[in-house]
This record gives sequence, C-alpha cells and structure tokens, in this order.
Amino acid sequence: MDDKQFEQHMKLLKKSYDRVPSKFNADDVLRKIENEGKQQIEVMSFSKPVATKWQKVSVWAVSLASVFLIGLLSASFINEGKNQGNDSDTEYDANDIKKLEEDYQKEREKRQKILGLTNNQFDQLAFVKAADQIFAGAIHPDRMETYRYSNLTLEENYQEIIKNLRLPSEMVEIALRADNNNEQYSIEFADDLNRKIDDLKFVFDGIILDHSKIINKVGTNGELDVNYLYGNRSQLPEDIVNVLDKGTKQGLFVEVAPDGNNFEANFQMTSSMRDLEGKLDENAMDMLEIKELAPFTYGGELIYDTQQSAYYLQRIEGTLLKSNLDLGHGTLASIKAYYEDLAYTLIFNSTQIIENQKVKDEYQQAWNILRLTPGTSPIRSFISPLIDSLSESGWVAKETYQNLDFEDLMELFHQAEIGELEELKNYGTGLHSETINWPNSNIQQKVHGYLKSSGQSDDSSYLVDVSPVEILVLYDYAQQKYTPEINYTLLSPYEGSGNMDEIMNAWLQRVLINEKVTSIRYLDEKSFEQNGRLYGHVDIMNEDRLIHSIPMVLNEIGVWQIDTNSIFPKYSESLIVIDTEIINSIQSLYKQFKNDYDYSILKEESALTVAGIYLEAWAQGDLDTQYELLVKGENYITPPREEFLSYPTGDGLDWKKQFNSFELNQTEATDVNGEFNGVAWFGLQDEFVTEDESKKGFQMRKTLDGWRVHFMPFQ
Amino acid sequence: MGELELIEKAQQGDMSAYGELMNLHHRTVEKFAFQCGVKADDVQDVTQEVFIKLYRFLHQFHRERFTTWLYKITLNTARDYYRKENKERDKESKLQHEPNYGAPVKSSEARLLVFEEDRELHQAIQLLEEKYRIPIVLYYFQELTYEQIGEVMNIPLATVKTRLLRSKEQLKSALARKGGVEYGR
Repeated sequence: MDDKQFEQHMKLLKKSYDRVPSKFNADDVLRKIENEGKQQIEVMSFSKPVATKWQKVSVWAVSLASVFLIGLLSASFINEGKNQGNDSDTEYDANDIKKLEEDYQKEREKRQKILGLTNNQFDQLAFVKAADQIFAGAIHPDRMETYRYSNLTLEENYQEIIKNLRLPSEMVEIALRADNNNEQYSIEFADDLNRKIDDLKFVFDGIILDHSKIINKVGTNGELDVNYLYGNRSQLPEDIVNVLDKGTKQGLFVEVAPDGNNFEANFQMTSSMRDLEGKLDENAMDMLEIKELAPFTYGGELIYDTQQSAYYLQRIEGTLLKSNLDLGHGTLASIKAYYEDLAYTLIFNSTQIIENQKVKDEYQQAWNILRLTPGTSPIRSFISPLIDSLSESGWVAKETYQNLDFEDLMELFHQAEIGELEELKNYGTGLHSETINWPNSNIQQKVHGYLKSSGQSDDSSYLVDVSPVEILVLYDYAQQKYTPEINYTLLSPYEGSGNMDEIMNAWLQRVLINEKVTSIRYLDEKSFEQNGRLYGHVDIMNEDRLIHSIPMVLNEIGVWQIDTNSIFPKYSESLIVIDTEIINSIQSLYKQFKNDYDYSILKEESALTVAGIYLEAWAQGDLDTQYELLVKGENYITPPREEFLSYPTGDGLDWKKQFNSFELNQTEATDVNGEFNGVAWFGLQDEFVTEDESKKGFQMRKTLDGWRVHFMPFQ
Repeated sequence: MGELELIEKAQQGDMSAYGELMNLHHRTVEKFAFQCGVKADDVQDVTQEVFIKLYRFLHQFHRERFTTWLYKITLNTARDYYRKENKERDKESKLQHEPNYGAPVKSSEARLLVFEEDRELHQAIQLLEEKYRIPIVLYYFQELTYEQIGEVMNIPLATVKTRLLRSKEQLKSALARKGGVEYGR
C-alpha cells in the first residue's frame, strides 16, 4: 500500500466516524454535577428576570447585593417612629449624588494607579465591576426614597461599597491593625482576599498572554526562565514591567506555567500576609498557605512529586476537617476541590500509578505516607485496607484496585465532616494504645517467631503492622540472642549521624528491659505527626513508676523503629523554594551586612538567610564577608583570616542559578551553651542534577549570636 | 459568545455557559473516545464522564488551549474505561490468534462502520500500542498539528513525528497482511 492509498483510506474512515451516534444531553451532565454537591448561589438581581433556570451570577454581585439589600430591607415599620423625625436628614439631592460619584471615581483611580493598569484593564477586574454595579444601584434615583426607611444611610452604604474596591494589599494592612479575629471573620477575610487575588490574576494573565510573542523567549537551558524577564526589564513592554513590579505587592508573582510554554501570575504570600499569623484564625492562614501551594495537579497529573503530594493531601484534609464552617462556599470549596483532584490523581489515576501491572514504587511510598495520617482521616480509612490487600500480592494491581470507587472516599469524607467517622484505632498500623504485663509469655512467643522469620527475609517487611511494644520486645530479645543485624533494622538513624556503628554501640550498651520491669505500654494519645512521620513512645514501667521512655518512629514501609534522633528536641527549617523574593531579600541583607559587619542584624535570621548571604559573598568573590560568617574557635578547623583571604575566588558557583530549595535539620544534641550543629540541604536545579546527587549538604552551626557556617561547608 | 468568555463564565458558576461549552464540544469528545477504542455503546457514558471531570478541573484552566485540555481529559477517561473493561494492549496477540479475528465486529460498530475496509482499518488502529495509536488518531481524525499533539501527550515535537511515522508503517503492514481490501465506493 503506498502513501497515497493510505491517506485515502484514512480520509474515508474519518468520514465514517461522523456516524458515531450522539445522544448527548448537556442537562443530564449539569444535573450530575449538581448532584455531586457543587453549590451555586442563586441570582439576586435588581434588574432583569433570569433567562433560563441555569442562569447564575458571580458570587461578588450576590454578596455585595445582599449587604445592600439587607441594609435597605432592615428598615421596617417598627422603625418608622425613629425615621420620621429624621426625614429632612435622609433626603438626597443631585449635588449629594454628584459628590459621591466624584468621590467614587477618585477611589477607583487611586486603586487603578496602585495597580498601574489601563482603564480597560482595571475595568475587567470582577470585584471592580461588581462594586460599580452596586454603586450604580445605590445612587439610582429610584433608590433614594428607600433611604428614608433604612437603618443604613447612603453614606454608610457607600462606605461598605468602597471596602469592596480595596486591593489585597490594603485589606492586609487593615487586618494587621485589627485585633485577633474569630474563625468566621477570618475565613470571610481569607475568602475575599482569595477572590480578589484570583480576579487580579485573571487580568494579569491576560496581559502576559497579550505579550507572549515578545516575552516567551527561552533561557540558556532551552526553557522559559522567569529570571530572563527580571534580567531584561528594560526591553519588556510597559504592561509586563507593571505586572512584575506592581503584582508582587498584591501577592502575584510571574512564574513559568506548569506546561512550561507560557508565563503566568501565581499567588505567593507577601511578608505582610505572613504577618497575619496570629491575627487570623489558624484555619484561615492554612487556607492562604494551601492556595499558595496550589495547583497540585495539572491536566490530571501531579505537579509535585508523589511523596510531597501525599504530605500536601494530608495537610489539606486536616485543614478541611478542622474547619467548623460549611465547605461548600468560597475558598473552602476551592480547597475541597484541590483535595478531590489530588486524592483522585494520587490514588485513582491508574495510567500514572500502574506499570507492568504493579503499583509503582513512588506511589507505594506515597500511599504509605497517607496511611500514617493521624487522627480522624478519611484518606487513612480508605487507603489502609487497600495497602493491606495489595502488599499481600506484591503490589500487583488486581481486582481490589480496579474496583476502587472515588465516591467511596468522598463518602468517608462526608462521614468525617459530620463526625461519624471514628478515629481509627486498630487498622493494622500499630496505632492503638497497648499495655502488657511483663514478663509476658504470649508476646515473648510471638517475638521468638519474628526472630525466626527474619532469617527468611532480606528486608524488614515481615515486621509491618507489628506494634511498637512488640518491636521493643523484639529489640531486647535480639540483644539477648546476639543478633545485631536485627537490632540494626530496628534502629532509625538520623541524617548526618555519621557512623551507624557508633549509634549501634551506644544503643547496644543499653538494657531496655531489665528484671525490675513489670509492664510495658504504648499510649496512642501521646503519638504525634511531624513532617509526615508518626512518632510515639514505649514506656518501660515498674508498677506505676516510669523507668524509661523509648522514642519510636514509624518508618516509610510501616515498621516501628527506635528513634535514635529523638533523644533531644530537634530544630528544623522546612523545605522552602528559593524564589525571587527570597533572593532579593538575601542580597539586600548581604549588602547591609558587608557595610559594617553588624552581627545584630543576623542574630534572629534563619539558617537559610545566613547561608544565602555566605553564598552570595562566595558568588561575588567576597572572601571578607565569607570569613565573617564562619564559625571560629579552638574547637573548629577554620583557618586564620590571612590564610583564608589568600584562597582563590571565581570558581563559578552561583547559588541563585544552581539551587532551587532549602531545608535544614539539627544533627546533634544541643550543648550546654544552647548551640548545635545542623546540615542544610540545597536542592539542585534540574540541569545540575546527576545520577549521584540531587542536593548538596551544607554544614552550619547555631550559636548564641545566630547561625554561622562551618569551614568548607559543602559536604 | 466566544469560547474564552464561556469558560470564564463557567468558572464563575454560570452553568448555562458550561452547558453551551459542552454543546460546542461534545461531538469532538464522542468521536475521539470512539477512535481511542471506547465501544460505540459506551461512548455516551464516557462523554458524560469527560465533562463531569472537565468541570472538576475547570478552575485550573487559565487561557491555555482549551481543546488540549479536552483531549487530555478524554484520553485519561478512555484509559480508565479500558482498565475497567480489561482492555490492556497485550490483547493484541490474543486477538491475532483468535479464530474469529477479522470477522465482523459487534453490531453497534457494524452499524457505524458500514464498509469492511473501515472496520479493518479501525481495528488495525485499535491494535496499535497506545503511544502510536493516539498520535495517529489526533493527526488524521482530529486534525491536530504536531505541536498540539505534543501538548496533549506531553511529548516533544520530534517524538510526535517519529511516532506518527512508525504508526503509519505499522498500519500499512497490518493492512497489507490482511490483503488490503480495496474500497468499493
């Protein structure tokens, strides 16, 4: 068959496909969507009657209109007596209206100037359009009479309308000056803030799209790079420079879109927004932080890696279930949608999850993280039996997985919302309180069995679902039987711990269960979740007296281990993306510090900031500043200043280009002076990642004067 | 009303706008789903599912090409459909050895694809591995450009071209093996 014949066949088949029957009915789909619980708000329009039963308007017009209506309608004949004496005060003439119109125009122009938008662009903002509509209604001649009977004067209504013109930056400033707020107020504030940010994003994205042909120029790595925009501002259209400059104050930063083909404006909390912590209810802050992280999926695929996605899913679930408010409206409804998308993509999206008929390793790990979700958790309730079933068959995606129904998870969520999902106590993860008398022949027999099983397996998966008490007994038994390889698997080392043998030796010296022990217990209510891991304690008791409490941690595969890291409280700085705001802030502090080396400005700064200043000095070839930040003293190998200053510079390291994230963990116990060592991990940008390395360790020390850097900090 | 405007209104909760959007695009979804291998009798259920899912993801849409989204979601929904109907790709060898391979398809497909050569070509396309089947469907039957195909499948342009070339060769070989029935119309 030649090409021509082939093309002809394909054309004819294409025509035949026009006969694919269609019985599609949009109303059926709309009904199903409604039944899924998506709530809409009915039209409350002053003007024209609704065209069809599906006609709705945006939430903005409704909420503003309701404020206005309530103000008007609250006037009643009960108040007649009060208003009668004030008739002359509530009559408005043309001059009054003109004054308000002029004032309203000034208020608009003020915001337009702050945003740097053209008239056309500013008019597109949904919250501005809505305020305009309500204002027009408020000063309409037909309305004037009603103010005579209203509890709210025209001026008071006007002030309410003006509030809705306020930009996000203004809203935040006002909220910072206010007292601490209850949940209802905080959530409404967060809702309004989110909606205005979304409206601004829509307009900014439109501006970016209009200029995409000019600005979509790839960087040196062949991909779009937002640093290119910042670095070439003088060559960009004014509109784009405006978005770059003015957007940040409102919480909108230009980034590369998930598809990598365009730029877009995305929400990131400004430092003022972060200062709302303590002013707003915790749930409202959570909502803002979740919005900052969103989206979590794109086109049905995960944006973050599977493990990070699992942590975020846990967090979103926690925020939704903590809230006492209706999840059907506003930002909470959006967050519920994120939860559904993410849960669906992480658990049900078989094309991404299954390979060669098995659940991929990264999804197994992610699901095991979800299994550790503490408290009342629909996700945990859903995923635990699935993991139990699949792990029995080596994670082969058999019928159990194929018959999964997303609606079952949603039903569990609904039960949790109404308080009917009991906290899981016995789902095979050891998550239940337990006290055993000691000695205990039953447990000892079980443990003997575990020890025998260990010889038949290379890994510790046979210990999945074994309780923390039994794990501790096994550890003790393994010590007695001198099987250190078992002890090894039951100890959880910490990052930067160095020699595992040292840890082993330290622990093997310890006798955990001696002849004085009368009981051993694990109390679930004392367990806690941190960074996606579940931590607890096994208490060794003599009658009512606690002999010692052994810290335990549930590892990634669901086996309890002794947590050698938890013998001291840990300091950590969670994973943070190094973005333009952070870079700018660090560069500014670097300039400030290098002027006079005033250490007081660094004393309260985070490890990331100090590390960033050190690295900025490195990139600038500024050995003096680097030296100032090194930890010094007789216990350290830092060379003398003169020697350090003789070292060559210009090795090409530029942390801003090389690193994209930062996190830090304390690695040793805090000493008597309150100081400790930590290791920071800088995530590498994609082009610097190798088979061996995706991040670089950087050694630091927290002193009483703030963070310092160890000599030769990169590991 | 333009498509972007419909989407914007739908994102703000205007269900009639979403209804109009569905009416604009449901034929595309129906045909693409069938071309991806969904049985004729199941096309309506899959199409409904696509639009319900699309609504769920609608808040993520920000001025990208809407049809790219539509194709992606239809493709994912069709894949879920395969999973449920147990239609993995390794049934290719099973079908080839079936005694009734090449025999008339089920009645609904037969009503739809009247000519035997249409049915043969449709079957041959369905027997391609997905990574070869989808580009050829998108190119010939949905008339997408290489770039658009790359966006839907999240693969580079060069890969799109390579896969199209290979799928054409495979189809031509498969049809040649069948005897290459000439079209009788």
